[in-house]
Amino acid sequence: MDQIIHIFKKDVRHHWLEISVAAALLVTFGWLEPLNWNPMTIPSGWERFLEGLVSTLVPLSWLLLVTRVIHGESLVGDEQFWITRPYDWKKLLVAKSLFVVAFIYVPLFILDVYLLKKASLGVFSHADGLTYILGYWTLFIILPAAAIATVTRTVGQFVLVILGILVYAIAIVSAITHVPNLGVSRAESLPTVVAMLLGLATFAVVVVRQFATRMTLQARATLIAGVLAIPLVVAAAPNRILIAHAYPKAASGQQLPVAFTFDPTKPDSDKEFWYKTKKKVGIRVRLLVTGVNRDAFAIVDGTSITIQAPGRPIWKSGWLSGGPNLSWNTPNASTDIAIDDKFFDSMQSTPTQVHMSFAISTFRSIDSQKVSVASGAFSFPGGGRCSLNPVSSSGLWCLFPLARPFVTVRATAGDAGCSSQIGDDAIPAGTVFQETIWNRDEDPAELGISPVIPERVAFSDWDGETNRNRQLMLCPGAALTVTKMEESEHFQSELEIDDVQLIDYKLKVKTFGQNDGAGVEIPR
Amino acid sequence: MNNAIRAEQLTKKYRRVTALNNLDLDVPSGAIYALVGPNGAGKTTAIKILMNIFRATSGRAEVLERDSKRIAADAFTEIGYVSENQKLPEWMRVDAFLAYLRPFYPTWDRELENQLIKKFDLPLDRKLKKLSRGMKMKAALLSSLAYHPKLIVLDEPFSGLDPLVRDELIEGLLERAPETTIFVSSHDLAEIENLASHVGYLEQGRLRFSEEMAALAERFREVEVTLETSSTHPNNWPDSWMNVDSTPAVVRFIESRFDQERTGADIRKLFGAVRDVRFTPMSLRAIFLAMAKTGRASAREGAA
Repeated sequence: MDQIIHIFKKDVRHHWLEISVAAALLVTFGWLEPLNWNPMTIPSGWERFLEGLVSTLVPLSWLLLVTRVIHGESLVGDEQFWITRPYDWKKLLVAKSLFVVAFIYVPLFILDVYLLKKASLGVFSHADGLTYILGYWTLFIILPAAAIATVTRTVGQFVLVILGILVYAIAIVSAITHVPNLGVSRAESLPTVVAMLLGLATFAVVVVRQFATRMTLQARATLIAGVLAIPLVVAAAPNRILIAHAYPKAASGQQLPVAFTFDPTKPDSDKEFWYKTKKKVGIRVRLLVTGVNRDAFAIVDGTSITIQAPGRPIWKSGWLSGGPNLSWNTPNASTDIAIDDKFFDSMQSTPTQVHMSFAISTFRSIDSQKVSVASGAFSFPGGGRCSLNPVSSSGLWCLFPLARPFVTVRATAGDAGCSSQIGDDAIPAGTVFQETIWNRDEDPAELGISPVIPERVAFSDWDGETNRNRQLMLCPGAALTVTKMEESEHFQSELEIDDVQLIDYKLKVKTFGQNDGAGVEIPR
Repeated sequence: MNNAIRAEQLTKKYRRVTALNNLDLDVPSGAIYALVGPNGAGKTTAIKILMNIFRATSGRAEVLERDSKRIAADAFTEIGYVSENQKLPEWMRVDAFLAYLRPFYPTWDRELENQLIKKFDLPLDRKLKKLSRGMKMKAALLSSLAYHPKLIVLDEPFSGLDPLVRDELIEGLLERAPETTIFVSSHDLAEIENLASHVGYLEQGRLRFSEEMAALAERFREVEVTLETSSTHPNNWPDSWMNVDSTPAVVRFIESRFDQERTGADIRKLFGAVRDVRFTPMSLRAIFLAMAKTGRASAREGAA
């Protein structure tokens, strides 16, 4: 223990400047962050720039601290004085870890507690979330930085490695968009967990082995192999099988919570466009949606399309990620498909059969609470504090501890606490407005430095009859119904479309920067 | 007598280059052992394997009766290591450096530390990065002597130092000699000659000899033979003769296994009656140069 403290004290003396800079940045962050909690004080201009700068510099200062403290007893090379002194590698590792705890984890924890208290959010009931924040900073910043620092000699080398990893990450992200069957959310959880565990194991092994043996070439090889393998785990996973497992096909005759039928309405060539993509043609398929329960909603996590015609080659899209959110008041939706241009050219006027598979997740309500809007701040389910939005009277401004709750909030015209509404005549009493606060993952905390999550809850909808956006104004005394949501079912839904000509559904091409006052329709 | 260092068949290969080739080495406890050899002979590699900084490709070594592969934390409380290229924590002042190291060593001797500070005239309030090369070596040596190590390992400690600093370092070492074993590598032969009790000569990764200095000095002689009459000479010189240089009237060579009777008999056998024979003792430097010259000649012949 004596040796640990002794090395720790030496490191504090050596790195007082870096420690001071990191602390000053954290204090600045703690001063600026509360400005984001009130819509009247949200930073703009130079304050916004400063806030963005500080938010970036805080993690960078941690990277620098980790690197400098490890380089203090460099593990690379054979001329360092300390390697022929009575250093116990385990104690050295603990001393460095103690430094990280003392000057990264403890200040971050103190800052988070301070911010939670300042936001009048509970502290002690969120120990798991606060620990989670430290955990993901460890996984995404501290441990990778420590691993890289153990195999580099100088900060310059460290920065070069980080830049190399960034370039690799950018290349992987752009390459991965061409890999089929990726991004279908629920099917990705297993490969993602495996990739994260692989990363964790790689970084931990490199750090411990380097401290124990200082075999730098081996450690570098391990680190490179691990970093290269992490995206490969995700890309090379048997994603089709995982999707089939995560979203089982419905049994014959099974009543599904969501049903699609084909809407043959063609795209409006004056309003609906497709951003030009190399060697691709965009088509839009409209869908009529039925069956979504009033207390539930559904999300299309992925879509797979097969197009064929007798005697012609078959075109398969593979699973494409993402899709529309569907609720009881979403009667229609649409999905855009990028088809290979050569295939489109050969098939465009041929009657074809389109088979669509949708990977769908549904969500159900599990608990409802009545909340009365107060004139000041009031408690909100999920540990939050909300108040009427002082900027826009049509909603709430809420602060949540660590993570947003996954809830729907309903307000009813006539029960909104106001004697009159803006454009009152446009909103008949009894009209229900619903807003969803999303947190599908339901992790104990969201990624970030601050544990206070601001959220704007607005109540508005589109009135198709008057073609106007309606906003519900809230006043003290308004009654809200807050319903906690949870994922309930995952399944595949199939749709067969016969005898369509692709040319009828082709979207007009638009290039980036072309301004014609119209945009791609966002499915609602 | 126990050996402070023992190496058996120690070999280190870097891909195709053999830096150390089956090194067998015994350094008796209490000796001041000088490992000499030209640059690139493998001296630093040998020392770094002994200090467990490098791993040997094959063979084994023991240092203070421990397997060299297990030389780590605790072992270094008994070993002092100073190298010419050692990277010290340059941001520290000399006094902070010594204060930092003290708690690592249960046997650290404050009194000895103060004596050495005075002897080496070290400026305690100066940062290590502000010190001259000689001063840095003094600080490094001081920090490796102050805890009475059983073994002091020095890798080219005198390289590039001015004579005054060298003398101070050697004096400091010699004062500690009675209580420790000193293993020093150098190609600075003049100083080694005054310091070492034993010497080993390493060349191209191979140990050419290893023995006590007195025996070595006894074994090598410069020999000059003046013949009665000018004549041609045979080429089959005895194996122990090195760097033979002959004219019709005079033959000069270095005898590497000198024994007055045996060498005299060899001379008589080859040349018959001679006018004069002179045997001159050699300095370590002269022996080293002769060995190096012979080694290079053999290497050239081997390559040819």
